[in-house]
Amino acid sequence: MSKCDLRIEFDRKDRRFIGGETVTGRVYIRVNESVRSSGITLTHQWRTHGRGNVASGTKETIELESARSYSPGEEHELSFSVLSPSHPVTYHGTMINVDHYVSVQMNVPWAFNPKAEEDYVLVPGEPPAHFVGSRNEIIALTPAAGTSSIVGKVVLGVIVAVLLLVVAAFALFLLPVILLIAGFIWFRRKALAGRLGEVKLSIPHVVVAPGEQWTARIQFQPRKQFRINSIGFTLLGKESATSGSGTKAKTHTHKILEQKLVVRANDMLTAGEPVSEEFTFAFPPTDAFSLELSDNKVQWTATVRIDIPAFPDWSKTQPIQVVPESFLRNLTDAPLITSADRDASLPGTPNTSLAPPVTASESLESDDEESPESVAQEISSNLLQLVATLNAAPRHGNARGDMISHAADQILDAAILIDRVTSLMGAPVKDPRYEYGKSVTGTIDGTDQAIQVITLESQNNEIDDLRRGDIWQTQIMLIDWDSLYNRINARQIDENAG
Amino acid sequence: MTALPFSHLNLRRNPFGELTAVERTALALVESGDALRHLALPRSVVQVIGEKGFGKTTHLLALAAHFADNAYIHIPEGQRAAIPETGEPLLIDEAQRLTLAQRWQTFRSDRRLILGTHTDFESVLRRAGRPILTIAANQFTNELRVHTLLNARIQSARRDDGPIPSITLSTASKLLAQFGSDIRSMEHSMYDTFQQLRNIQDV
Repeated sequence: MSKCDLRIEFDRKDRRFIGGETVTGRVYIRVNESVRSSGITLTHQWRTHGRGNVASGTKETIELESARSYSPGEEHELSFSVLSPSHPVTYHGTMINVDHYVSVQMNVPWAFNPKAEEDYVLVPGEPPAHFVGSRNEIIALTPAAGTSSIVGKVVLGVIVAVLLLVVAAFALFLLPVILLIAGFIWFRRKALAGRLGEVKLSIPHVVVAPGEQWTARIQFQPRKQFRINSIGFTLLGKESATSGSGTKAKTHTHKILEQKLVVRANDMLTAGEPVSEEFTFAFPPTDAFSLELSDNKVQWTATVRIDIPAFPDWSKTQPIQVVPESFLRNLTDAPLITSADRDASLPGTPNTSLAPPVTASESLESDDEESPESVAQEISSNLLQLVATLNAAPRHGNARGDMISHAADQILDAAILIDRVTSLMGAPVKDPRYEYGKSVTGTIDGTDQAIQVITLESQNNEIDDLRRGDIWQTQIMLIDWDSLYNRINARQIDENAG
Repeated sequence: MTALPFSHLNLRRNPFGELTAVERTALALVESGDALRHLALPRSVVQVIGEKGFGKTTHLLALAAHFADNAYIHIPEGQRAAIPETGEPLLIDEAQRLTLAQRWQTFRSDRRLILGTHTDFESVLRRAGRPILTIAANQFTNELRVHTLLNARIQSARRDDGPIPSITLSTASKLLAQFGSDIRSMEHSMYDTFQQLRNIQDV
């Protein structure tokens, strides 16, 4: 039996705290033998556990009680409060785990220190203070390590210079091999450019939140006629944990998720005919947020590949940073997930601008009697007016996005000049009726305004019959404004419901 | 909803994940008596020999814990490491990667040495006039030791009082047959097993 027993209890039974919140609890002390303590300290820290070498955050230490003596049978209670960090949040994967700990220790001179430790769950909350900038580039979530001293920089500079000299000396001997490799790379690029021309890949942003709609577009104009196996897109999330170092170092990987989407398969491309394909999908719901520690990484990538038979493939891989939705708050350059997007996932009734807002309970009650689209609503045909207003608003800024948000509750008649139809990989809105639907892109007839409409799975047969140049009449509700493509995102309404 | 990790097994983590050096030292099951007696001699050397995964580093860390003023250096592959000038005994992990000059300098110094190595330096050290004790890292690795080692790992991850999973002697025996003395590979295998384990049970 130890001289005393320590026990930690959090004030919340479920031990769940939100990033940036104060974590509170109590430390219970039961004394078994007389003991002179030089103080009781509490430490607060995050650590990884799993296959990778253990990484940990800064240790915060506070003194709960100063030096004193305790007698057998005494029982004490000390309260504590510490501020939780915003990052990294709790994660339990296969190779990598991140947990947050509160530890308490009684410091007993020349004897074993009684101690206790408990973990708590940190869920996403406030974004880290330094997580600001643009969604178009990956932002370091782990603050940079302290800058090295001038002496260190000079030493590093000398080492690099010496290494470069050594490499340069060897390069003379290795010149034929280097030339061979460089020649192969040059030939490969030249050969691809000779067939594909310039390939443009547009992506909306690289900092992404789970559940968010994400669209990539690939465009090129073939210079020759040739066959392709496929034009495809792969979203890959993986854990990568390294244990040991030197010869003992071993990296273990685990695939968290791999989604593949093929937009064109076994097709013949014609010289001079532009190819423009879009990959639209809802980013999967996940708590595997991007993590970049030296030996513990959670990484996401999007790869677009043009698979050409008996020829080098064209491919490009883009790293993606997946963060909690709340972390997007301080970022710029791309629209956040709009409320319309989230509302679309609810079974509640769409709200028209003329009807008073309904509460969640009201909308659920109405579900028992009627389907969402059967509720009497005034069908608006003012899409053309909206387009005119949009065009009058400045392209940059939030004005166009705000206009779409304000009109998001209306059902609109739309006539769309079809450009292309593609299959969806997951629903951009969290509504199962759209999950295996299609994505129709084109322009609003009579205007140059681009629009993308996701359609109901039940309408797939009808949508498959659409061809480029057709005019498609339908009813839609707006989702949001895509500032990258200067385009309206909308969803098809089930005209036959109810 | 995120729950506490491995609470379904009454554990705090997967017991066979990577440990910190402190945790590994605390869990080391090393017979240090002979080595410590030998290290009482001036200019003495203890060399721990073994293949990858046999527990050389664990041996070194366990011995280091007995000396407050020790100096420890691990030489990564393909790199040249600076030998600490102070601290005794001097522990060198992966000592076979010492350069010839470093060997000559270190082996002829008066500092007591503890070496973790794939190469046997006994004759070289004897020629340098050093009293040497060679320990095979796997000399005590048997079914019982594997059983004790693995269950100690599980015990160290315990969350609360009450039952926790345990490794049976039969499993320890099978692991020994499959991996020989490679404790690290056994731990990796058990990591996967515990990742899949849904209930508290004997493994």
